Amino acid sequence: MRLKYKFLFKNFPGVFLIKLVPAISFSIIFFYSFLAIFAYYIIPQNTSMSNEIELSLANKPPGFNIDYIYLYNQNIEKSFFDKLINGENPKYKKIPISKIEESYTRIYYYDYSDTNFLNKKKIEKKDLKLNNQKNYIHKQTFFLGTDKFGRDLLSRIILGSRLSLSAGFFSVVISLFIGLFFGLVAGYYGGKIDLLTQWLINVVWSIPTLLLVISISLVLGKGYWQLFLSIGLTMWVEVARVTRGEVLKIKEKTFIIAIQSLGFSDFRIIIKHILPNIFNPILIISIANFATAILLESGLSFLGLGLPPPSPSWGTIIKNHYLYLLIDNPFSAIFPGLCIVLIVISFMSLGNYLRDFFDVKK
Amino acid sequence: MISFLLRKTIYSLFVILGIITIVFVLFNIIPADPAKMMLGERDDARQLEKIRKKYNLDKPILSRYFLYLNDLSVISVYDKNDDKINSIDILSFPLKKKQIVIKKPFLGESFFYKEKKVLDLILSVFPNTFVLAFVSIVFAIFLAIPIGVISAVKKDSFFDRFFWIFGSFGMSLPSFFSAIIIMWIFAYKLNWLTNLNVVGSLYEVDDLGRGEYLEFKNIILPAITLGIRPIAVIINLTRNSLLESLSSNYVRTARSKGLSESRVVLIHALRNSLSSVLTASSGWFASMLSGAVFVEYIFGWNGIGKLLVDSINNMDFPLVMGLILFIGVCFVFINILVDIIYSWLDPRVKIQ
Repeated sequence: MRLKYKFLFKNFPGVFLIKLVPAISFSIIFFYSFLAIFAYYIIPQNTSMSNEIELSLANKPPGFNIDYIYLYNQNIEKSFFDKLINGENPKYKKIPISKIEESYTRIYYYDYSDTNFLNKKKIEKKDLKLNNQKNYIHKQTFFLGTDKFGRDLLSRIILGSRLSLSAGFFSVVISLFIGLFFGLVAGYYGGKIDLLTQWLINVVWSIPTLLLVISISLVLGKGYWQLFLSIGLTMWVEVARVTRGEVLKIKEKTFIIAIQSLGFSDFRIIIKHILPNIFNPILIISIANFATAILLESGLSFLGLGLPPPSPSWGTIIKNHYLYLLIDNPFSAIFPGLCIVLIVISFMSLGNYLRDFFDVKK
Repeated sequence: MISFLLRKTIYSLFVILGIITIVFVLFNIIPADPAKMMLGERDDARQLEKIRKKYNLDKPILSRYFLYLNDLSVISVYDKNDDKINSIDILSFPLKKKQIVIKKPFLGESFFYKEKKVLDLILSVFPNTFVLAFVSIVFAIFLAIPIGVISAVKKDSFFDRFFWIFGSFGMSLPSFFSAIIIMWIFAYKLNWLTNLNVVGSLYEVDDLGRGEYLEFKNIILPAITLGIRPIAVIINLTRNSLLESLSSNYVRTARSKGLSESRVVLIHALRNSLSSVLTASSGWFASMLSGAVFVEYIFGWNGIGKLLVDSINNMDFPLVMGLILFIGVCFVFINILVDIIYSWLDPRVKIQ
């Protein structure tokens, strides 16, 4: 087992490249994480939560173009980390237009919503405050179209990967803390503690995962930590069950009995000698849990129990747009769905590959 | 056998007690005042007090817990002139001050549907969910086992690989997404071919004099959607356990006796691997009773899942509590059933 680890870490990316499926899933996960971290440097609409509502542009198909007049801009420079986390402040005041005529001092334009060219509007050129910027007409392309509030769908989807990945990561961490504690204690000490833990596991097991997540999130309310906690508090059962089983197997081994006879404390035996030896099955169950957590988060958001709007989340985007399928505008619901499927399938096949690699039985 | 059953039943009762406790604790630390929620906008102090008294909200949490258990229990004790008793089916035995009552479990009254008992609301929609789950699990079993058998016999063929990929997709599709896609393709795009409805329930009401009538074709799409995941799991399970049996000694013996390959696979090997498949399917059936939340919500199927989503949107907490308890208890009962079936198929289990 140790040898396999050395092999895995020495040839770190290489070992995944030998086989096609884990290679692809690993690169997809890497790509998603990159997008999630540097989202505000990548997306076209990089204001906070890319929440630029423009109802006249709602529900446009992918590849839609629009011209904007920029009325003024403010140069508020943000620090690198501030922009990385929160995005830019809205810099420009901009108007979507359908047609423009220019004279020497004035601009005449029609609003985008003004399809019959009825209401000609004008601006004095000297009123534009663009900090010496010559160009006041800007073209924007919405690569995946717009959502029902006229926001850029691509930006929202990329930003949505943040919530999904962090929900996966933090709820796995929470479930590991609780599950490892219960599993290790129950497996190592046995007896009444074990019986009690198994009862608790059976109880939580009998309440369907989705229902338990829903009721915990009803109790905790809306927010990042509430969401992660409610998913983590449901998934620890799986970790505890696996840990307990593995500890029971390893406890019988002679080296543990030898260490016990040396008189080391239980804490030290559990942390230093048992935990490293059950690392593989726990890693595999955590990867599977990661996928489950992403599914649960999107499900909660779909039911409207996720983060409050306007936070972008794949489940929320699908919920807001799935009825547009029936007026033949399917893209806004299908793209976020495909994102979920892709990341979940990547985690699952990576987990399966590692299970075969470490030869851990289910 | 009887002691095995008895042990299982007593343990399950403890599990059910645990479920009740968790649900009670969760919904009693909720940061909202149920009395205010019941009254809505028109709350004044006297009415609030009245409601609190009626629903025991003025009592400490521990005594509320025991009152809740008393409400849920089949055999319970009430005061003689408790107005709750009038609303419950009774077979009562009067004592001096109290009376012992045998009744249906009382899950409380809904906030939203005024004066309606939660249990009645749940039981009125439960048959719909049961029919849906049953149809889709039967569909899944009959489709998945043959595919699994062929995949195992023709290991590493194109067929096997194809369904391996299908299986991993099936496992990673969120059920709301698959429901949307299936609805879009089969009920909207291909409507001219399939003539299926986008939404529908088992019963439809016709204004032209037919009244309420059964519409069986409405079950097709929800059942398929709900079946995708079990199909993926059962294919995988059948394939793997069949491969394991095919490599065991007794299969080699059967082959060396000169039996035909189909007889070896279908009669000798498959029979042994079916027990794990059957256990998994009944487990899936149990989780389908609750896992249908998204499918029922999207297809407008009038079942438990839809009731749950509605009750969450209405903040109807007694109904949510009741639904979770109901589904949890269903889950426990089905697990007992699975244990019995399993011990019947594989007698080695009982000894452990």
